[in-house]
Amino acid sequence: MDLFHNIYMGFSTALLPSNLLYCFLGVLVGTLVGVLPGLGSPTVLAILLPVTFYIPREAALIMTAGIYYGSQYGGSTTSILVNIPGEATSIVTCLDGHQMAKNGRAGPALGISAFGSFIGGTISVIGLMLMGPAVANIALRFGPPELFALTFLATVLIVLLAKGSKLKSFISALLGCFAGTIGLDYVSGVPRFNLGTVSLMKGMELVPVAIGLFGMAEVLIHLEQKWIEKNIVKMTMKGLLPTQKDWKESILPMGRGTVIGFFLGLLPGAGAIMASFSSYIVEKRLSRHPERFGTGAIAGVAGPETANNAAVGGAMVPLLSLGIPTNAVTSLLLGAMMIHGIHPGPFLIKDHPDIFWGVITSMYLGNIFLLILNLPLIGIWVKVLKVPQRILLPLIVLFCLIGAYSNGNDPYDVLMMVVFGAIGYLLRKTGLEVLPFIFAMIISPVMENGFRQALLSSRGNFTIFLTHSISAVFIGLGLILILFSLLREWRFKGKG
Amino acid sequence: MNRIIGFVIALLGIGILWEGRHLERGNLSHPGPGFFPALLAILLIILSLLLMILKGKKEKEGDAFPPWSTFYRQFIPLYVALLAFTGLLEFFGFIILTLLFMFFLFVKVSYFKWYTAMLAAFISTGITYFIFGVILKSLFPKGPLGF
Repeated sequence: MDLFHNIYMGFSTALLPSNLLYCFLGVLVGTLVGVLPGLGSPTVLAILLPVTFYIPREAALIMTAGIYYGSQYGGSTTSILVNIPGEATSIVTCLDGHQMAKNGRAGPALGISAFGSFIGGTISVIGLMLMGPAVANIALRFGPPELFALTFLATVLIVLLAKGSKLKSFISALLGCFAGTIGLDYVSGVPRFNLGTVSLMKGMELVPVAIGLFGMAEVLIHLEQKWIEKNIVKMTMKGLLPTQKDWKESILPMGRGTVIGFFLGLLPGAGAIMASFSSYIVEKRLSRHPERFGTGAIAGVAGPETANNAAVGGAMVPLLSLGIPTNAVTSLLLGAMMIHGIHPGPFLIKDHPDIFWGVITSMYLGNIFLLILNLPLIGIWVKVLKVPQRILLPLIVLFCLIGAYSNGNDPYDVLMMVVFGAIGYLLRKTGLEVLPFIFAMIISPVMENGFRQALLSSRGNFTIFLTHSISAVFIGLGLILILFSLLREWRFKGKG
Repeated sequence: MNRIIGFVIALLGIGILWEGRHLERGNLSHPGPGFFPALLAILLIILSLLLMILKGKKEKEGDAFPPWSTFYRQFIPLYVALLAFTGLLEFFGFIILTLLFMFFLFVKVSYFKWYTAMLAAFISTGITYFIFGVILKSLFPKGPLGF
């Protein structure tokens, strides 16, 4: 009965006209972001974080969550029509989606992608509703050793699942951890590494840092490339609805995609990307005609597109129940919550049930908005695709400046954004990943406090991390993963 | 490249230890505010040394940097403009400075002709001021002319 009461409470928050409007705006911006290649959802979310200062916190979270799952919908449009993935999670959709478009079946490809996204997104919200409170109940028993162990495991997973060098990702995470220690020490109130400035006493502000690392760095990366001429497949707006045969071939891949997406989304790291690739591989393996994959098989679109949207619901479980983000976007969502004085984690359900359930139920509504937006408005998204980058880039710079300034009406924040823009560019160019950095910067205070408090309570006895069963499991799992990764690399190098 | 990165990171690690020397580190039973950063710095130094040792093929290098011409034609002017924007914002005010800044960007980054750039600067400044200044009521600094 509790669940129904909570759903009712969630809908009474989500259905408020203002929240509905922000939900709609969020998914609209998200779709737009997904459609525009090169403009990732972390970039836009970072730029838009300051906008959320001006709206009520429930609405802010509903909108930012909408941008997240909306971008997963939009990403497929560019993959299918232009063969350029709007989001990294839609890379695999290019393989068969674009081939379908070239075969004159762009409509069914876009249609099945939208329906798959709707099904994956909606079912994963049910999973989130069932699993979120259960995980939070377990997490209520967490003390300092468990909190340290959990953040340690999450950091290890983020590092090991990063794209490039694991060693550099570890370095990046350590740099992020250090950035998180700058400012006043939470325990003693002593200023640390503020270089004698008052501005750094408050620590590294998430908004200017995130805007710099994602937004400004993105501009610099684009500046060094030539303007891309987009070869958009011409299509008519007829025939968007998949045929009965299309549905027959897609329904099982959608079901499998939902399960794969939700569970891989739970893992810190590249959950949604892994989900879409895994779904594609599974579908190809299970297909009676694997040779059709890569030539325009609709199952190759339906599975991955369902999986990457289902991963969003999965990723929201650790974020809302444990306060642990699993990717760059959820890191920024965590930041947005903290800016509004909400600390995600097991106490979120207890202290702010209206927000917890309001955000979750808004995702149902958002998915319906997205289905409505995506099918009839595909023509408009195609036109949006034609906006040249030479217009977009100066506008992104302007939004970065305004976003950073709005953080505290302080030019110092703009300076920080500008500096972190250059740092973000250098991180990317040197192969040091941005995600472990920002993740570790956000999570570092929790990790440090857990570590110090655990040692204080055990009088310096390190075995406290091993005598608490949950903590021991997390730390053991983290160490096994590091060991496994090292062994794999050595084995690979031995063969190489 | 990895050797240079490793060297810079190692220097940073040493810098953290040096800057944090005044912070009380405490001991295992009473870790002070300098304990965790020192631990991070030591780990940073160890990993950066590993990065320097595992040179060449073993560790993936980053992407290639663009030609020098991209730096002095685009990056440096953009950064000079950004720093000028930061420094002059409170003196000139948001509207005038944004107008000049956007005109510069549309000419220098987008290679628009001056009259197209001016039009684009007017439109972009106007729309963003309307959204952030009027609708969202952001407190933008006002210049000597009162706007």
